[in-house]
Amino acid sequence: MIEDPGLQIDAVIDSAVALHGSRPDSLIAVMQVVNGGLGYLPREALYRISERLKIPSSEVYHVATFYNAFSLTPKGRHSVKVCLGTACHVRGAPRILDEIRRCLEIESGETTPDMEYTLETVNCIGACALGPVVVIDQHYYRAEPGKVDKLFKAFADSGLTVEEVRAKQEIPAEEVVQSRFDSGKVSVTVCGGTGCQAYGCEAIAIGIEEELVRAGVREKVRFVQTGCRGFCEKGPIIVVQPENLFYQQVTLADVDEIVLKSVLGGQAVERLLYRLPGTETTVLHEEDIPFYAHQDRIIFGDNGRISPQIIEDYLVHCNGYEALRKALQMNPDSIIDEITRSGLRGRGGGGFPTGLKWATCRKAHGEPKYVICNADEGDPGAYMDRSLLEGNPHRVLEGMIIGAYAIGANEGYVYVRNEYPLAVKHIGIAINQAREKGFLGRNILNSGFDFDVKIARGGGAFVCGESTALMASLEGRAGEPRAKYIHTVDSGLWGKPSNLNNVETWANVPFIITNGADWYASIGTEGSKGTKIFSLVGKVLNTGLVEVPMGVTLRKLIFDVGGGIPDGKRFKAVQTGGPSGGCLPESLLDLKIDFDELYNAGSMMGSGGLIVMDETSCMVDVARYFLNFLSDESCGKCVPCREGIAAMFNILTDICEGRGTKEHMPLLQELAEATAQGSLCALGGSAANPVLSTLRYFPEEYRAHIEEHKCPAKVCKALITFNILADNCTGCAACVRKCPQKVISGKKKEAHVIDQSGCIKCGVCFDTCRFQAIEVE
Amino acid sequence: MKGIIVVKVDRCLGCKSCEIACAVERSRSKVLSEAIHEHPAPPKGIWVEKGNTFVTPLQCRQCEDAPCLTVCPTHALHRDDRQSPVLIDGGLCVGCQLCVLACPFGVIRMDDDLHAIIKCDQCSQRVSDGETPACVASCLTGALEFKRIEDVLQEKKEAYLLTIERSAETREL
Amino acid sequence: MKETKNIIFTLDGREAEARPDETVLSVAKRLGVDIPALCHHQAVTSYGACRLCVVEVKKGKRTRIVTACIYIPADGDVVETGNERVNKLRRIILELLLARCPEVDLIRSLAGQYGVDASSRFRVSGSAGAGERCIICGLCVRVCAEVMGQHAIGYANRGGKRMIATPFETQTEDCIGCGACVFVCPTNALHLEDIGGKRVMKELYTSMPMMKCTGCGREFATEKQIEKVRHCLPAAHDKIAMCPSCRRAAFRDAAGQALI
Repeated sequence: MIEDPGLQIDAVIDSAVALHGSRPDSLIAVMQVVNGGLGYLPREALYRISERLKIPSSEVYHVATFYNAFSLTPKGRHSVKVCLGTACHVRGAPRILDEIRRCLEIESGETTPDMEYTLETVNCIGACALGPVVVIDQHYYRAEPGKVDKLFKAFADSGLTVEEVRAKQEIPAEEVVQSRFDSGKVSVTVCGGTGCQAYGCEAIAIGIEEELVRAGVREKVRFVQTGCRGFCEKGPIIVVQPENLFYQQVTLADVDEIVLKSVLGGQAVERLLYRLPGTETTVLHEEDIPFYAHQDRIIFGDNGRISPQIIEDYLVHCNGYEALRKALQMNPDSIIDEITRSGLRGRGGGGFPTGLKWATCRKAHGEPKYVICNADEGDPGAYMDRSLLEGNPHRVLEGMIIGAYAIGANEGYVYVRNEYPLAVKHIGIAINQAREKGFLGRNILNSGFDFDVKIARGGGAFVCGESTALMASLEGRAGEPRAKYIHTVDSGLWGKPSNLNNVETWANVPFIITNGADWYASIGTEGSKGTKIFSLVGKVLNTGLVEVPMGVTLRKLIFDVGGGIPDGKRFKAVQTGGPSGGCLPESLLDLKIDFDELYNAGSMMGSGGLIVMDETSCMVDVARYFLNFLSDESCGKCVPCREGIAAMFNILTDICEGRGTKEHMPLLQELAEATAQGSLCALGGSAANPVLSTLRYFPEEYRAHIEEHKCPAKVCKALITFNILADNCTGCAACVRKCPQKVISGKKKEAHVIDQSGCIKCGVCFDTCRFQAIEVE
Repeated sequence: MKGIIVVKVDRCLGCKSCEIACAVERSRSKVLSEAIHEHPAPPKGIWVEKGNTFVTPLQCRQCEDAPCLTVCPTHALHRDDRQSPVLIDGGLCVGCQLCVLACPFGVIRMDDDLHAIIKCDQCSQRVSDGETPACVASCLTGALEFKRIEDVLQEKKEAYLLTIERSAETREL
Repeated sequence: MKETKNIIFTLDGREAEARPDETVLSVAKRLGVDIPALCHHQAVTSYGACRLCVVEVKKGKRTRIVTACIYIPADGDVVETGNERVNKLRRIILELLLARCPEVDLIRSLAGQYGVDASSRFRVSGSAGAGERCIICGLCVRVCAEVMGQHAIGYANRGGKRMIATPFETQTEDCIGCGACVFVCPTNALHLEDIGGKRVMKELYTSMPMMKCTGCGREFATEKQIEKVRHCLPAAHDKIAMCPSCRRAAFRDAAGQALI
């Protein structure tokens, strides 16, 4: 019997309204529930939501078509999402996308005729170390060019349970030494960050816990699934105390040995230790690994010590809420003074002095005031905020409460990007626990100060990282920015004074209160105090999240912490600041990481994404990539951004496809200036930066494309050819089988040939050949 | 002077001098010989219409409780007070034509060529300069007059008294 | 604290006074200074989308570009509405608009005014091209929402795919066929036609029945328009279902009664 679809729709809407209310600002949350419940938003549902919430259907339609989270057409049973973030881009995401498109025979945005798979692209999933990332349903995979079928097979296999996997292993006898456990110092921490999740840390954690239970020591061991530990390249990561043994790239098969040898026996499992690159030298402890040794993990370090879902961990291991206690004894103006003197500047990208922002908001007129946490981390290649919010939500919360007290706000919001469900979950748990303990709610710690926080999920739009667009989204509208001639601290959310800060900015606050402004100001440079968490991704050996004091050079970060460029390639450029930033060349490697230094070099700090590129990256292609991203994410309201970015993108496409002319370079310059000055918000205002910085530092690459019709990095398809080197070709025909266009031909055991007229430059033959017989020119 | 345009129907010949004068007043050149060549054509706010046995000019009555003003969503239609003419601020008009549909007399209209709502505004500029509205000034027979309301009332009272007096005289004779 | 006294600033070299909360555009209009502003209309809120009304504001050492339709001057601001920097920016914006809507007369004439070649050097959004007339100024949307209260049309999509649309680009019951959107559209991108007893709003995929005049039988307004007028008039009158010509005829006859 077919259920009346109208009844089903009404039921889902009822549940959505029960959860989120039926106010105008409930719209996005209600639509998310309905979209989630029905798999998409049928027309009827949109009209009924419009009636129920008393919002015009034209407005509901705008919101439905503005945000990525909503689909107006039914989806397939499984979603296949290909990440097109910058880090994934430089690691070959476009090739992966092409292969999947050929494999499923659909375009991005479409669903296979049998309704099995829907293919979509995402402008950064936030698992950059794993790139190039493909997510099928909730499963994350590192895709390999030429091996896309392996991906789908792995997905099909992922239905296996832990029990089934473990049943295949032998279980040795154990010996338990009780005295070892009486000290209470034995602990096992399993990293639960996104990268490790993708590597299967959940199964490993279950495995460890089961093994501890079987050994009869579960009650005596502190077993914690922590937040991200930062060394995402080497996940899954496990640390065993008290010997402080750091294990990396752990698999399910290693679980028994870890428990037997390390937890019970206090001995190291050699093969799981970190090895210095190019050597057999192992390192036992985290702090001795160069990746960690060169960092200063003041804010981020706690991620590895606690479970984000247990407030007691935060209280015990992180001096939790002591800063709040101290702050509540202080005068609000003194708190603001402390933050101002510390020199803390916004960590979201703007770098605005936080103390000044708080002071202005405090002085502003209007009630109620709001504090907002901007967790809409949208810069492709950046996932620090995600890991902070997922791994140590209480720290962020504590910062917000202190800020709210200083400013005089009693209400707060945490606005989390739609693509971060785990962060939403963890901050939700944290808020509930904080309420129970009296750190949130009425009369906090008997201070007379009331403050509470709500969580809002983004709808899937990069532009909502911009403060006025974020506030529009909180109000239930499409994320269109407005002019900031009147600042949001004076008139923001619902026209009231609103103080918005980034996740990392809030996380810095408790430290400043506890240790004082002078301590904080002693770290970093003259203009940029404190530390900064960066996501070091792309063509770098040690991809992951790193924290260093401001003032560290790019060279140190990329080579000492990052371990340099893998596969013997040369450093070419590092992209900082996301789509609003720029690409810096080798000559600037000794630049100190500092807000003003980066800005003067034609880039910016941004939220902290650092994408390293080697000689296999084409800088013109990178500029084009960013413009493509921005044209997709632009809200489209103002002419310079909407049309200007499209115009620049079309010019860059012409250049990449061999149609570049001499006039294009000055034309790009003109457009860049106009977009920068004429746009309504910073998205358009900084859209030209990738173009300007690549023009400034890599002009010869543009000239090669325009004048010589060559792509030196051998990336731009229209300007390269794949040839078979007859001398090396054994005629094995492996490439023939893989070639999607079937343009390779030849006799068995004889040198083959590629028919250029049909070649689509997909590169699969190049990846397949084991004899170095394919050359790219 | 605050006045109303009064029509003496029996005096109207249907010559349409008032229509022409109104259009010329609203033209750019303010001169008939040039006004007739202007594009778009200058509009008129007065209609001369034939009844069965009469002809009469029709224009906006500047109703005290003007429905057009009540209905206008942008306050493009506005007036200084209930005795002053209803004027249009073209910059505020959005062309919704609610006024056109609200007017019981059909004397406010949308001129598509001019992209504007047109109605009689009693030539407010001329009146503040001490002149009479253009239609009144052009009327050769005195069918159109511009008078103060009190004066119109006074005239009607006197005319009525006269009829009473005349009928009394007739009875006497 | 809300400003209660007027603001004194400099506009193109001369002293100007602004009421509290008055924008530069409004002051400029009063003083006869012409600033192009395609997405602006007095009857609706300012939107700042076309960016043509950009002006340069200098305060102390700080200079910035702002849109005159939204920016409220502060005491001592030095505003220039047509200096080289501003005009250069306007030219690019016009050239971008030309690339999007090469056939729209208003854009062509404005471009000509600023010395921009009619054949734009740019290629813009894929959805635009020959025949595109809409510049997404949003006047239609705002008029329908803020003035008429109907909210029949809105925006859809994002970025280069942004467009004006009715929900699902299909018939909307919220449209009353008043034509205000057509009236305020600066580029004639919207059209209204009365065909076969129906009012057709082509670009809105919407049509609705018209009302026949109780006098002459001609169709003169949509049923929804009449409903709205009835709703807005506190005192009903018996001529609502008549066309203006028939209303005038009744008026004429009433005037004729005076003769008797």
